[in-house]
Amino acid sequence: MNGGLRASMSWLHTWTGLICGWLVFAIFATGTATVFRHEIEAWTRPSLSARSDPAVGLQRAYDHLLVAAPQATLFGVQATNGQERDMLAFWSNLDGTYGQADLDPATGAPAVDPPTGGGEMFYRFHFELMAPYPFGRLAACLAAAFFASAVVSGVITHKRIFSDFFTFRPEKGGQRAWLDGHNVLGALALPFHLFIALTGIVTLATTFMPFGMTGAYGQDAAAFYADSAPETRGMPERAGKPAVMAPLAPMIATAERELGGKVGRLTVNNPGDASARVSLHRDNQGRLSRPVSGAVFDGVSGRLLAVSPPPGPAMATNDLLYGLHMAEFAGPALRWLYFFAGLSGCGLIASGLVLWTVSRRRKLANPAKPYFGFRLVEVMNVGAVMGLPLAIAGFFWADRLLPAGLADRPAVEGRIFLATIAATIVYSALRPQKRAWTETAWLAAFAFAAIPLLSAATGGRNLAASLAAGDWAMVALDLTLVALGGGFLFMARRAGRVAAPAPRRAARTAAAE
Amino acid sequence: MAAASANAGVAYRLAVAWRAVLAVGANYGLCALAATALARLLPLAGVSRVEAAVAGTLVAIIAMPVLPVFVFAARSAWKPTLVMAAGAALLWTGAWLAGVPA
Repeated sequence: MNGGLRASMSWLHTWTGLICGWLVFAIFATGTATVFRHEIEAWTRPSLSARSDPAVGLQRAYDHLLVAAPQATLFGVQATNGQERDMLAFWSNLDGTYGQADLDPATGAPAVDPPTGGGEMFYRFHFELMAPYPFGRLAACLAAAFFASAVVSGVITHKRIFSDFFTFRPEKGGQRAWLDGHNVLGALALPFHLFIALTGIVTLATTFMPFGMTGAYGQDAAAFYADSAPETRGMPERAGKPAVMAPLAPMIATAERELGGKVGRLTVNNPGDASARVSLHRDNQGRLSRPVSGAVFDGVSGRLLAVSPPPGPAMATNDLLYGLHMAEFAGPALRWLYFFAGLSGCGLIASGLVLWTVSRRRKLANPAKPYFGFRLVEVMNVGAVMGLPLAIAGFFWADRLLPAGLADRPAVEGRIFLATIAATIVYSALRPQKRAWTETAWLAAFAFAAIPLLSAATGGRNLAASLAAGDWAMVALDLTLVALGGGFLFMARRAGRVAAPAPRRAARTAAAE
Repeated sequence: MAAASANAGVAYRLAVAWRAVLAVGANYGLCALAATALARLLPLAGVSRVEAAVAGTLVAIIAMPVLPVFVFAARSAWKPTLVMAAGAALLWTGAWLAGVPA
């Protein structure tokens, strides 16, 4: 293009960034929340206690599901670990229907709390956007590819990437400060932004880029999945002969010996049938790779049948990239790092979006009546950048305030989440730009900071009780929500100040005289 | 792009639109072809089918965000058009000759 490499890259950065910005912001915001998805899961189910032995919990879930889902052809249970307190269970029935439940490890039965989307809602939205399969996933991948392109072209544009670390000149105000802020946020966590976008696509590769699979396997996707997890190959057909299942504890002990770590996942094919198979997979503690090795047992005799072989180099790379994105390996310190890197990504995208309007506002022929495209970006910037936090806070409010017996309660929570984003866009369109920023920031400050009070007042998690019980995960979640409220308070005050700079400067000059 | 907005005529807009087509549509097609070709050709070199499939997919995912940079960095839109067309022809021939591995 005209004007040399940096000019063309700057152009590419501006427009790829704008096109994907609002969607990527939504993905980053919910992805950042998803870092603490299991804590949110536990927060929304106050009956679940902090401590449980995963092996004991799995045994209880196994005993419960064998009785509670007698028509199941398959069921699976995710064990608890240091982060999880509920056991997510799913099953599919003979008649083709599916079921799922959140089991309490203390009983093996479903948790007694009102049904809720929990942390799972943010996790799902993060890559499915509440859109029908496969369109949400495809849109998320496309946005990630645009974002990665914007990052690469952004790096080429800012050749002084190292000195950008130390360049933040808020006192210069206006466009320079926004650009400095954008550069600092971009440079600070640059490797994170690029790898989280690319590894995000890797997690959805079979949807977004299935041509490696179809190239090698044609239309036989089942053969690809069987080769990907060889230990699951040769699952027998249902025999139709009822049989008594073997106890789980000895199988767990054998699996943990064979796999060299704790068991994190249980799958049972044809439960209660002579052909039953029990698969036990390792958890992710202490290693980066995600799809984990497993052992398969005869469900009736309890005999070990197969253990997964080590993956080849390409599959190991894929598993590593997958694992780095999911961060299931990460302990508390690393997860805080993912959280703050995610927040920096939100700030990077938000400042980039604002910068697009700031750098064009000066050139407007009539700033009181900007052209349609400019106004659209202004409205959508507030809609996305403030709508997502408001929707996240709105979920916590909905979870505490919706009646326990409400039909389809998790779906209503999801609708409230989407409606909050839509309402913010409409509100932003109806208000002057600066007022829209300030007012929504005030609302977000209140909405986040008040959540612990609301929760304590409505019989949910209670900060004082969590402190007394030494339940530090719940204490940290409550305090993080308050801190986010504090962040929006700061933002509201800043935005309010920027809205009226002239009188202040005049006042300061007057005071100096 | 101050210089560009000065001559933002129809020709310029068409050139930008064409580059966008290359950077989005042709980019995806080329990456899909690369994934297919690698998934089919690697087994000929003794790599297992599942390994070849995953390797092809990973290469495609990593190439995808970089190709737009090449498309927009080139001085003339002809260069990325020709290079990508040649690459597609080469990959398509390779994938077609190899066929789906047994």
